[in-house]
Amino acid sequence: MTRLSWALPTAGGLSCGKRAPSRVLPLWHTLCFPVLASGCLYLGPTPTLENNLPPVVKAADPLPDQAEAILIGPAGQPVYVLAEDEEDDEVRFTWSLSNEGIVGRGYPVSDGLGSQIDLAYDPELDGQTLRCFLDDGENDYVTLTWHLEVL
Amino acid sequence: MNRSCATLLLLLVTSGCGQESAFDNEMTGARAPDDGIPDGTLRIDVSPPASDTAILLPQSHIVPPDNYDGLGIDLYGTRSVSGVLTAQVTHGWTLGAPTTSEPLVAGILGLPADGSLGAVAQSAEDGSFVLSYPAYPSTMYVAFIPVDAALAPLLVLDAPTYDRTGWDQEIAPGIPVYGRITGTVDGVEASLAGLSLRITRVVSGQVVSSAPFTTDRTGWYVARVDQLGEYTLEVVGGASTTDGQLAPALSVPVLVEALEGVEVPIALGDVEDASADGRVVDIEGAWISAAYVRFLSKSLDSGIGALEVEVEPNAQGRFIADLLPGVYDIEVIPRYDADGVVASAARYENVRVVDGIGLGELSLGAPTRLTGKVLDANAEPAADVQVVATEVGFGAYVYYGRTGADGSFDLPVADVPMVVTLTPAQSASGAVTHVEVDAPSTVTSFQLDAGVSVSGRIAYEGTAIPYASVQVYDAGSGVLLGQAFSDESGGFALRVSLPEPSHDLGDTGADTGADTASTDTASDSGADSGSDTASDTASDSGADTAADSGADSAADTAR
Repeated sequence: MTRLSWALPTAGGLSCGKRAPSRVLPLWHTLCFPVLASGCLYLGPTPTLENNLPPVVKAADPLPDQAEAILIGPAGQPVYVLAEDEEDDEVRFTWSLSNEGIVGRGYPVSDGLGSQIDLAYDPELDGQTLRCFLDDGENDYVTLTWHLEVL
Repeated sequence: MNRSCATLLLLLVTSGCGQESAFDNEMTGARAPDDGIPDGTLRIDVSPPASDTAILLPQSHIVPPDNYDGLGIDLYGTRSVSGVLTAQVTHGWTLGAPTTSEPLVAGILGLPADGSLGAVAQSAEDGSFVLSYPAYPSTMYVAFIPVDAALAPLLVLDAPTYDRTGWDQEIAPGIPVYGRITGTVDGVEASLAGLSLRITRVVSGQVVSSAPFTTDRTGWYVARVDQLGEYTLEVVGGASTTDGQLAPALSVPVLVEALEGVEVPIALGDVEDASADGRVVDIEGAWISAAYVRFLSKSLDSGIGALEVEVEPNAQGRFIADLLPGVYDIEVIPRYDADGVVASAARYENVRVVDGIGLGELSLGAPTRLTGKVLDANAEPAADVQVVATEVGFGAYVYYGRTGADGSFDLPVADVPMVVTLTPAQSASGAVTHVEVDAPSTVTSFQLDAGVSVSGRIAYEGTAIPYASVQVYDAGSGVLLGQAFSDESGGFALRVSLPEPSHDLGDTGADTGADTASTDTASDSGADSGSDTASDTASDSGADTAADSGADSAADTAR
């Protein structure tokens, strides 16, 4: 068990995703008035479909999604992510390590707008990939990755 | 060995002049005085967000006592030194043995003399390296840590240089530290092969460690040090040797007094294995595989060293651990569950482990809730306070929430000792406050300390740096007092509790929080009733189960 403690990303490389399309339909409905036997005359506005937007990463350190690994020395390495959601949905952070799966939600920072974990100087971390999964509870998410190397 | 070509050279990495600030309280970044750090001195560690346009490294700024508001923190730029690292590799163990110069793969540490955040790099296979570091005006030690500790010594340099490129560093062979590590199995001395060790030394108050090295098939090891002096040889316990033999962790002081080196044989005593098995269950008796079982020795029968072993149960919750005979505390820790707290870690204390002991069922605990109110420094309900509870030990899991408008909070947590950190949204309502809690279920309220204000602006060459992590430490003890992030104009503000002058900071931090009546109530009641209940329950059920079964097994065996 690797012990973790508690101490302007590039546009490319961020992995965004959707599990399923998110739609917002207006509360009113289209009305169908039968005019001819074969069809309807639709009255009312065409429903507008709005897609939810994924969280926006405001800051991160170290820079995620790089080919070069983070080098962890005896002092350890803190990693933080700050994010916000344009629809004011709460952003949830989930951290994972490639060899251990989900390791927690991290330490909340910046009034809950961010999350931080402190990587220990632990040989078990060498070669692993750290991921931070940000989701807004509306089926939109962002994934940040860091490759790890222990001195 | 000719000391004129000794490995200790004089190289100091410097960075140039100080920087000006438009703010009244100008940051100097000066190193702490050699005669000790004055009470109330803060160290502010700033980690700017990563950027493609400017490489600004995490760095420290020292703040003298009593004037913490309106700080103008102008970040240091980044400087780099580069070169090629080689070593005079000796072929043989005797002084005067022939050497060849070969490229060296090594970790490289930049260690500021005042304890500020440093730098880290690694040389490539061809020995080339680039070390980037904050452009501090103070002294920085540079340590080269060869990946192969037998090939070349750990080297620490502390002297000035103004070369920024072409820094070719050759490491001399150094002084050998060698010996044989043995243990006793069935009363017979046995070599311990494949045992992992490190050698460490203290540099500017920081422990610098060599890369790990191992004993050969006959139990011999060799490492090299760069100079005469005091070192510590660390046996990294718990790792099985190549023949599967366990060994305890042990620290051995080493004094190197002669250039010929020093032999340090280590006898680890009785290392005959003892296995322990059991099953992890939840409070309802269901098998649990998603857990860890951690054994922490309190005393080994050999009387030498300590051992920590961690195992995972199989799908049926069963586990087997290879240990050394002795007395252990056993921690049973559930894996992190993203869906919430469904079980609590548990501890079984003073469990006697002899060979073949069956521990029976080790039960996880039931979760509990951390419930109560947070009051501000004026004893008024404090709304929108971030409440973060971090387990002390176990899985170090973090639980958090925020207080409502009436200051109340209610978090599901594991029923283990925790440190609760309260961070008010509005710095005026109180300081970031840390409280030690033995039993979460007994907490009724917390009160924020009044603290002192720490505020300022983070900038680089006049440009504000938003979203930078700002961590405020007591410079003397290194204890984290609080953390904030700079806003879009680079500004930050928080209140922190300063440690009492000349007190033990560990006591002071808790005392500061517990001085107020409400936290005294919480901590006292926790100490008197909650923690006793929780630990007694866990230790009674677990220890009785394990000890009874163990004692019976041992007694039966003896008969």
